[in-house]
Order: sequence, then structure tokens, then C-alpha cells
Amino acid sequence: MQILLVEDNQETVAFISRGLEEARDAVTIATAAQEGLLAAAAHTFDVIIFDRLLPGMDGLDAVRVLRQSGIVTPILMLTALDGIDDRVNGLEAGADDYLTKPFAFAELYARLRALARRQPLAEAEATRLMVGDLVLERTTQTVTRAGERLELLPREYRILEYLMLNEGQLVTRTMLLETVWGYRFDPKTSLVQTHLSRLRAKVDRPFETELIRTVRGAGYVIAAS
Amino acid sequence: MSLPHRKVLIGSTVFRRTVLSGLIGVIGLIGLVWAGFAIHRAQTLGEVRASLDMEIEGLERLYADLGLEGLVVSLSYDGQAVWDPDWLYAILEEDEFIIRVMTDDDVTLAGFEGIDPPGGNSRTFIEHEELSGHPVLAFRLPLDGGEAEVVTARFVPDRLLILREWLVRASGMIALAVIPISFVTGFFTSRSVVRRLNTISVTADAIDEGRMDIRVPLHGNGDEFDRLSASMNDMLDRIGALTRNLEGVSVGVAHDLKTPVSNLAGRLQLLERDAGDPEAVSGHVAAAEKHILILLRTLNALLRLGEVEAGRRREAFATLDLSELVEDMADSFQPLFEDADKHLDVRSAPGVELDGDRDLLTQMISNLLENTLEHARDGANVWLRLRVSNQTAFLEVGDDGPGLPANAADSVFERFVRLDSSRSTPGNGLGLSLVRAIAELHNGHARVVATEPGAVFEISLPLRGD
Repeated sequence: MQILLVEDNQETVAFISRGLEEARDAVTIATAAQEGLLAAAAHTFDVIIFDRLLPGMDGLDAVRVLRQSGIVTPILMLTALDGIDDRVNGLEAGADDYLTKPFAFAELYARLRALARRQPLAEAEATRLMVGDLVLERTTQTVTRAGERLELLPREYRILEYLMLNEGQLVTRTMLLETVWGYRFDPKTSLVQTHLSRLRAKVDRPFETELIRTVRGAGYVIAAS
Repeated sequence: MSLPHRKVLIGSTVFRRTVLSGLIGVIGLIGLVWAGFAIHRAQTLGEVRASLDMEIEGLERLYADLGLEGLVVSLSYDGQAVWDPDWLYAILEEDEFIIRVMTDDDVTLAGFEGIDPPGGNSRTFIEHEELSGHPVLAFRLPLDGGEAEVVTARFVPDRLLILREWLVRASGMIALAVIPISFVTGFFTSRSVVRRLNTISVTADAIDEGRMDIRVPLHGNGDEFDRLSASMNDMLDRIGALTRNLEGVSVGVAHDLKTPVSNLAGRLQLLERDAGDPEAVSGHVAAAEKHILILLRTLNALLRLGEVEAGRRREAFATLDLSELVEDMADSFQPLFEDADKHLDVRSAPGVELDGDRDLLTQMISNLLENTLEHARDGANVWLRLRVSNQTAFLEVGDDGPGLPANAADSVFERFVRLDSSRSTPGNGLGLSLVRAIAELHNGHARVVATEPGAVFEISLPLRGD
């Protein structure tokens, strides 16, 4: 991925850019909003990480400027602020996702991948999703594996759909909570784990190969073998 | 309590306002009386003028009919055409006309010699010594043919003059009397107000010196000062409660943050010791991350609580279907209850709509369900109910045991209150505080239903249109 990181905090820059370099992604770093806007205008990136609080300019305003100048690159906004309003404001300004500091690198990376993949709209609108012998028909909301019909609850269907849309990529618990449940808080209980284990009992347990994998402490990946 | 100093009283706003309003009242009264007098005077003089007009017309007719000589004869009394000055008093007493007919070289032919108003067709007041110092309304007119002039006059009515003199004296006396009276009234009014205010400021000073238990004494008559004092006392009670709460919270925050930080410090030391052992290192790192997660959870919960209590979220309220939310959440949590060997029963009235914050209400219900998951006994029957009565939605989350200690019903909603004082179970004692804060943000209440054997929480939320 080609990533533009607009962030003034040196610790955060080092933390993110090191992780991205290890994952063999190309990072361009800008430490001020103006610099970031120029870079975003001059090159094409797969995704832009914008800090909310930058010297000289509010990240919100910078994102607004980007959107007004016609740049549609997905933007992930980073912030130390954790109010519900802050999140809503960020999304309204034109950011596509919003992540509160501190965060695990795996969480950031999973979201970046999800954002970068969002580009080809055709896929998000595909009527049939397939991972190995698992087939999800979005028009009829039916799921089959190896030709066998799986009876899923509505929520289980939505979890599976989201995992399959991000095939081969880590989907974190928080991402699931936000997209499937619409929860903006972190429940104390193992809500996601419980539902995932029920889903896996239906999708994986009766079959030879396991499609849904748990990434410990981070989330889940669906992939054929 | 000492009496306020005299200087304080006279310098007070109340004193100045009382004196000022007294003076304004008197000036207004005097002005009003004089305006009435002016109207009365204008009316009376108008009548006198009209009578003079008629009189002179009569004289003109006489002159036209009888000629100058006839006119002179008809004005004669006792054969005397020119009147004796002594008759003036009789004229004054009987309110008769004063008349003079004279040649153009000012020789009196008939009537009263002493009256000589300016010529022309003018009607003027003249004051005349010979007319016994009494103002007269007079006017003078040349007769047709120009051989003579005629003057008619009438005394300004006596009562007008008496009334005016009386009014001048009365105004002066009222003004002289009212100034000291209004000063005295001002002094006493201001003394009673300053006295009442003084009790309040004495209390405020005492509180300033740190005596938070002092309250403003009430007069008992329920006047505006009593109301002010009562609301001040309420405010002080509230501040007192908040301060005590804050003290408890500070200790709670310190305790809840200290535990994970100490654990973290311990793990760092272990990391240093086991630096050569990769397996041990990753174990320590995982444990350290867990402690950091606990820290962040507590901090996030505190921030969220602050955000909710500040009430800012109210602007983002929107109409939502609470029944749908309750059913959806019950669906989500059902597997968790099954795994925990508890039975969750849901009964929800359909179509309950209210204005609120969906994210926060979701979190509120989640916190209640999590609380029950954590504290109800294994095999417990848990219920989630939504019903409506009296334009209020009642949301109830309960279980059939073991229940709360009798004295815990109120404290359970306080920050950092955890009924198992060992703090061995997970949780930070903020979950139910947030439940109450969210209910109150929606103008509702959170309470423990004490009559039940288990732990039953009831949230009441006013519906739309309330």
C-alpha cells in the first residue's frame, strides 16, 4: 500500500512507520497539515492517515479541504479525543474511519487494509461472495458450504459477510463491533468472541478445513486454507 | 449579629432608590395638581373672556342705537357718568363689569376712570394699584366713527387667586416635608434589607473560611430573601455532596489506577530479569498489555461519564425505537447468558419511541446486562422488560438472586462503589454510575427495586412530548 501519514507526534510517527515498513508498505510522512495537503494533492495514495490535532490547523479542516478539492482517497483519522461527538465530527468532515489513541498496530493496520480495499466499489456491491467452498449469496442472504445450506442467524450472516468482504485480512473485534453491532464502546463481556464461536460452529466445525481463523488478541481472518 | 453601620445604610442602593422614588412620587403629585389647576384656570378665564365679548357687543349696539351721548347716559349711576373709585369694591364683590368710555385724547366720558389697558383689539391681563391689587382681564375697542373708545374689564375670579396661592404654599410644604420623610423611610427600608442580606453574606464569609456546614438562617415568611437563602442552601448542600463524592472518586480513581500501574511496574522488573528468556518475555509483555487495557478502560469510562454528566450529548438527541433496541440487544446478549448458564427472558412492549442518544442508551442497556451476567448466580433467571405507563418507559433488568445487601440500594450507582470490597472480580465500579448518568441525561431515573429478592434495576425514561 502507498500510505500518507500526516502526524506531528514523533513517537506515533515512529510507531506507525516502523510497523508499515515491516509490512513492506510505502510510507510518506508529513508533520504539518499544509505539508500533508500538498503531498495528498501531488501523489496518489491508497489511504491517508490524518492526525486530528496538528500544529497550525485542525485535522478536521484539513480533511474538509481535501474532500472539497476532489481527493477521494480513503482517510483514517487518528485522535486522542474520545468523545462520541468527536467521532461524528470526524466522519462528517469526510474521514472514512476514526481511531482513538492509543491503539494496537494490528488494529490500525487492519483498518488501513479495509479502507484501501474499499476502492473497487464493484466488489462491495458484488452479489456473491466466495471463500474456498463457502458461498454467500447477498441477494437471497443464503450461505452454503460445499453445496450444503448453512442456517445462520441474521447477525451471524452479517458477521460472515463482513469477514468475507475482507477476505484474507485481519478483522478486529472493534471493527466487528462498529460495523455489525453499531456499538461505539467496548463491552466488558466477550460479546464478539461468543458470536464468532457460534458462527464457527456452523461454518467450520462440520467441515474438514477451517476457514475462519482467530488471531490472538487481535481479531479474525477468513481465508481459504 | 451586629447592626450594619450607618454609612453602609446610606451608601446602599436600597437607600438611594427609596429616597429617589419618594422624591419622584412627590414631584409627580405636585406636577399633576398644577396641571389640573392650569386646566381649571384656562377654562375659567375663557368664560370671563366670552362674557367680556358679549358685554362689548351690547355696548356697541347701545352706541349704534343711541349714539355716544345715549351710551354715556345709560352707563350713569345716580346721575354720575364717571364712576366713583369707591364703587370698585362693590363691583368686585358682585363680580360686575368694569366699563370706561373715553375720547381719543383719553378724557373719560363715562365709567371707571382708573382703567387704561393698551389699545387695539388686544385682550390682556393688567394689574392695577387702583383696582385694589387685583388682576383684571380687560380689553379696549374703538367705537365705529372713531370719536370714542370703550374699555370693558372684569376681575379675575377670586377663587382662582386663592386656589393658586394655596397651591404654592401646599407644594412648598409637601416638598419640605417629604424630603426628610423619604430619607427616614429610605434609612429603615435599607436597614431591613441590608440586615437580611447581611445574614447571607455572613454565611458566605463563613463558608469562604472553610466552614462548609454553615447554612443561611431562614426568616420563615417565604419572601424573596427566604427563597434566595433556601436556594443558596440547596446549592451548598449540592456542592457539599459533590465535594464528598469527589473525595470518594479521587480515592477510587487513585486506587483503580494504582493497581494496574503497580502490576505494570512489576512486569517491567520481571522483563528485565528474564530478558534472556524469549518465552518468559512474551508472557510478561502479554500480561503488561492486559494491565494497560484495564487502565485504559477505567480512563475511558471516566471520560465517558464526564461527557455524559456534562449534558452536551443532549443536542444530538433523535427519535429512536427503544423496543427495537431492547430486542436487538437481547438477541446479542442471549448467547452470553446461555454460555454463562443463566436464563434470559425478554418481554418488550412494541413501538416504544423516545428522543435520545442511541449510542448511550445502547451502552446503558449493555452495562445493565453485563452487571447481571457478572453478579447473578449460576442458573439464575434473568429478565429484561420494557413497559410503558404514564408517558414513561420503564426498563427493568433483574435476576432472582442473590440480590444486593439492604444498604446498597443507593450507593450502588456511586462511582467506584463495588459491593465486594476485595475488588477481586473484574470491573471498575463505573458501569452503574454510567447507567444512572445516561438515564438522567434523558431526564429519567435509575433505581434499585428493593422489594424483589434478587437484584432488580429499574430505569424510567420519559417518552417524547414530555
